[in-house]
Amino acid sequence: MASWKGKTRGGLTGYKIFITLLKYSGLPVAYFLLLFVAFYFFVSSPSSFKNIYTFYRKRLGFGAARSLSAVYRNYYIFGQVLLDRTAVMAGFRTNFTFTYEGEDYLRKMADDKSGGLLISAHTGNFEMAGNMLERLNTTVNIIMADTEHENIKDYLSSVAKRNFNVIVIKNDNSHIFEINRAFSEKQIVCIHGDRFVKGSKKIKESFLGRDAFFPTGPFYLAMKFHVPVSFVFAMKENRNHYHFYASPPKIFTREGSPEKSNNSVRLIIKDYIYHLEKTIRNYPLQWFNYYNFWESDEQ
Amino acid sequence: MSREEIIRIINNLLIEEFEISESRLSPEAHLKNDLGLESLDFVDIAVIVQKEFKLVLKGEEMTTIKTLNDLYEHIYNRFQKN
Repeated sequence: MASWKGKTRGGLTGYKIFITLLKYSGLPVAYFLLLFVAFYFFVSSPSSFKNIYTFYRKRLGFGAARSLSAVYRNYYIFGQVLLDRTAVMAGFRTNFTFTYEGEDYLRKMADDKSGGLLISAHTGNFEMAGNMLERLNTTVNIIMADTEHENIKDYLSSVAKRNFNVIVIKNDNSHIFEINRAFSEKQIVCIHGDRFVKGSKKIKESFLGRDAFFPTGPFYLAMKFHVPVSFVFAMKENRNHYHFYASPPKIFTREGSPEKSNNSVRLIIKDYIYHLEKTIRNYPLQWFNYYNFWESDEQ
Repeated sequence: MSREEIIRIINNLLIEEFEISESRLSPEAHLKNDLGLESLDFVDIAVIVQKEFKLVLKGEEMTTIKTLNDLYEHIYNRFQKN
């Protein structure tokens, strides 16, 4: 089973091109061009194709033809998600509408000044929840592992109307203390719970019928910092509408020995998997982990 | 709080939480390379430093803390300032 390599395809030039296109032509034109871009990736990315095809065939049980169609539509929707995210972050005019399911839970985190940890995944478009998170009247910290794309983050920050606090995971572990600082100041911290880089601690659990590894880190944070935890997803429902979900917050605590704390982390991961599986089954085209997520899958 | 007390608390943390033998706790010991502390272990350190010393260590402060002595000194200096 391959771990995530720590790189996201696409560089600063690609983002600049996207932004220029969005600025002068708008989303409908960009979506149209995306039909061809998605086809390009459909035929020229054998590694991700194999992984996402296997996801539809083996994990979701689609037939062969349906799986092929799903792979192309997955690429297309992923492209739309990137365009949507870029348009919003750059402050361009858009017509997006939103349904917020569970917003009250997060509002309570902010109003009670308890802070909280929001754990998401590489499904849908969590960044689109930004305008809702802005309304919570608290600072939102987003933990990012993709440090090689700091230039992109800086560029987006320079063109975006909204500023947010990004905590970058670093080898010197300074990010841990930034996270602690954020929780001490009763802020909200957001992190994805479905990726790890080689060498990270991980736990194996059944996910969509087969064992997969999940990073221990986000769930250990949940247990150790004793803050409310909600699993959150923002899913694209059609061209202009997103549906945001937040699970009822829970506080997880460490029990006694390191062995028991490992069990506590496992329980949190199981909870996360429950919500993630439900989300994927409702939105099967929005699973965006293009590497082999599961153990020793037969192709 | 005296420097000796700070050292005692930090060393107890390392012995009890991480099961590091006392003989390895020399001031020059590198937190990662010599004591084997990993990323998640720093979560415990952050939480316990806050609990025991009422100090919230910031990320930028941690970039200069490599050894046990660096940690003792930093906490001691923070106390002196407060």
